[in-house]
Amino acid sequence: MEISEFEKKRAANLIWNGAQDYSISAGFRVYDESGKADIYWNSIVGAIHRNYDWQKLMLFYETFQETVNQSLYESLFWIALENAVYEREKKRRPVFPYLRREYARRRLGEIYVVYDEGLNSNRAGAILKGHLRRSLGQDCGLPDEVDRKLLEDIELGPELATDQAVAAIEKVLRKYIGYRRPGEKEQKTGKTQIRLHPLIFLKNKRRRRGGQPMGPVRALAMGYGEHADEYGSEVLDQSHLSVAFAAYSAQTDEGLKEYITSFFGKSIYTDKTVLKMQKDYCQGNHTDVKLHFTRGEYTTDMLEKGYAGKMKKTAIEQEKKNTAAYEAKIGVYTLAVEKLTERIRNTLLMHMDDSVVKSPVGKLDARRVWRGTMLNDDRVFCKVLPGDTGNITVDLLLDSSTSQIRRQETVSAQGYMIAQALTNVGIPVRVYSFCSLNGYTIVNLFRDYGEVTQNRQIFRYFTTGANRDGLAVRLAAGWMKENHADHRILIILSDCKPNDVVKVRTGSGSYKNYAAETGVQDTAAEVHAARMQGITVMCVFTGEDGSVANAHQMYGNSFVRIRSLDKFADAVGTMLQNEIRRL
Amino acid sequence: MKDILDFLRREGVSENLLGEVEEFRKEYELSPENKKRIPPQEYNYYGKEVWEDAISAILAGENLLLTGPKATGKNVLAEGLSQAFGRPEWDVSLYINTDASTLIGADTFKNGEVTLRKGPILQCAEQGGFAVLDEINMAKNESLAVLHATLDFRRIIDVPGYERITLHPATRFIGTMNYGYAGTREINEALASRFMIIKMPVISEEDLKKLMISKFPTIRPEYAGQFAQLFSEIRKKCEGGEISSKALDLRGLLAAVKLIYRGLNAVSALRLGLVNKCFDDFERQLVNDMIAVRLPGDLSAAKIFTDR
Repeated sequence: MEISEFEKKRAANLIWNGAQDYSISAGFRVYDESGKADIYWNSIVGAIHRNYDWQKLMLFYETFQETVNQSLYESLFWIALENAVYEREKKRRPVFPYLRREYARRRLGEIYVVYDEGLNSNRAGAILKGHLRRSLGQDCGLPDEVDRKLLEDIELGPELATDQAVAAIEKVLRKYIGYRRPGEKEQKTGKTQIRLHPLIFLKNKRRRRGGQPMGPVRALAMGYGEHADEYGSEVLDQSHLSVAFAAYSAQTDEGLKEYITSFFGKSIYTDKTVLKMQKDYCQGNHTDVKLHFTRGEYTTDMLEKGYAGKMKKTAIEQEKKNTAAYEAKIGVYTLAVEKLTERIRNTLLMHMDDSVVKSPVGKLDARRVWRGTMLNDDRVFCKVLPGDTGNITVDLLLDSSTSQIRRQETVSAQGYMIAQALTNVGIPVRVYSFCSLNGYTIVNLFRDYGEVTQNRQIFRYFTTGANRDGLAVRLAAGWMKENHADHRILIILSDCKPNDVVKVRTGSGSYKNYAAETGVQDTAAEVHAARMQGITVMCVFTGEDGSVANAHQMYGNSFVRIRSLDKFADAVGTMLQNEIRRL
Repeated sequence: MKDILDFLRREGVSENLLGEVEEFRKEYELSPENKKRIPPQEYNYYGKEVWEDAISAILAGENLLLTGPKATGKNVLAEGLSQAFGRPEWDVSLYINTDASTLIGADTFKNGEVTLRKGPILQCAEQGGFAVLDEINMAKNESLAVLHATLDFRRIIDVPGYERITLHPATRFIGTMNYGYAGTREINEALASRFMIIKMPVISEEDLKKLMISKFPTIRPEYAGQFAQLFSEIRKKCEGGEISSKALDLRGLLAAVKLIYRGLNAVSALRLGLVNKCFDDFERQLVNDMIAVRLPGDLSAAKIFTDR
């Protein structure tokens, strides 16, 4: 079953709300048959966080892994805790009886139990059904006497502390279903389990006995339970990362980092900061992605480092080419910068121009005084309405993936023109490019807001790798949050075809490619999130006809398409003009 | 006007301070038209320490700057102070284009003569009122510079072309600001040094419950508690960065309770008062969920109020 990011977030919010604590990791979430976050159960899970020691509970819960009766154990575990925590919380949250009643009524209509000894999911369903009937004040209706007793025992009271609750659940499971802790001798055969190496254990964790891979989302009696924490174990399993670069490249994490550093230049942040940023930004669809921020600075020994060094040399060569291409046509470009400057300045002036209106108060207009005495018109003053639109910042984010490879000189020259024109009119501008390579998303910062003399750094622009647009937008928005300008504008140059090798995890434990629809949807969500933070996001679209729909989906109507990149600066000028008029 | 002092006594505000407040009132008598400017008592601000801080500062002749996030009762306290001291109040909402003429006054034409049309600050200074400078950090620091001499020990307003006015001794300025709000700017030191600054704490569940009960005397305490808890849950979600502060709206919550009293179903009333303040679907869903796990869908006035 597919669970949307939206419902996942909703479920987590219900849990945090129930737990009254936003610092916990909402590791276990519950969804209904249609993949919607279950209001009652997620609140109960939150309340369990609040009332019990979650770590201890999970330690016990993990012992169910890989057992034949796993889903029955898991379902009973949650039923037991639901009952206990419900009793504890119903006074504090008088809505619980109502929610439980509503849940019971809905769920009772949904569970169809066919009695068949071998089917544990059915048994769990039957017991839940009995439990819900009892919660409605009816008889549990279970035909089996053993199950009736089991239900009575599993419905824990509110008085037990975590350890006691775990002991009580364990006792019931042992008594009625034959639960054994891992490593414990099985009574019948006396066989001892072989202790697996922890890494092998982790790798096998997602496999059921039948060899079927078992995702973190599984059907339980009360709905679908997502074991978000179990994604964690997969972090070790990097096999999905197509680290398909040649033998001379790095094999280890450290090596990969060195490779990326030699390729793109020294990091501008310390390792600790980068780790923190990875934690903050590389979540959800971007889990597993690593980040590298650079200004392209390098040491000579970096150039000697095999393939990466060679690529860095190419990048340096490209910078020379970019500069040369600009110098060759400097006359044309200088004129274009001037024109662009004037365009933006005029728009700004027109908008910031104070307008003078006639008014009954303000500064006396001697020419109109007669009207006051003769015509009884008291509007003999003029009042200045200031037209200040507040301050503006512009962030220019350039796609530097391979798709732009034939146009490097043009993109850099156009980028330079935009930055220079904005510098001339005094609008702070930041220019950076993004691309993705070998699991890293690299941000190359050319020029920051205050660096008015650094526009030529934009000639460092060079292309390689793929583009993970969603993450780039998220990072840009994160950076922009730190500036407090009244109007923050983000302009992205992109072909609107996001793709990257690091795949996106899905609810069922499998992976989707970060490409096509997934990439587009993710970018659209990030653009929306940035807009919610008050950032104006616009796109200059350089792609082909086939991607127009993508651009639409990602940026709504806020994009312009340019057929040829020498229209880039012009397009940005028009966009800024429109935007300033709108302010 | 006795009642707010009674309220403060019940809240446990120091008797010494309240005695001095009464002295202050006696010393500065009010004209009948100024009496109308004393704000009516709509809500009470709960929080003994803040009251004591604020009263001490005003008694000492200082101006106050109340800073704090949304729904911390900055304006309620400001109004409460005007009531307690029995002073007329002038409300000035500041915005980016606020300038000297909006604050102090501009020329106007009266009976064939150019005269000064007094701005709120000037009127307040002459009458000895309390001027509430709402959202003081929305204005540019340069435009507030005209107030520097007014706010500091000089206590004067010099209107070019007119006379120089010395402030009435009872005049006080109370600024409010929500730091970090969109469009706000850093307040400069010159301005900040002219105020005593109170950081407004977030209203506690207990105080919010009291506020509910005082506003709706027939509300059952357990439901007042549920509304208060709902509100603090919304605040937690804002602080956790999950939603914006749009739904964190105390006025909206109180208005919703009023609608429930009038007969609207609780969930619908809260939708009008809180949920629909969010314009983002996702945010709206999260706020809806919070209400759903606090109040039953079929909750009506009869269960919440004793007299419905």
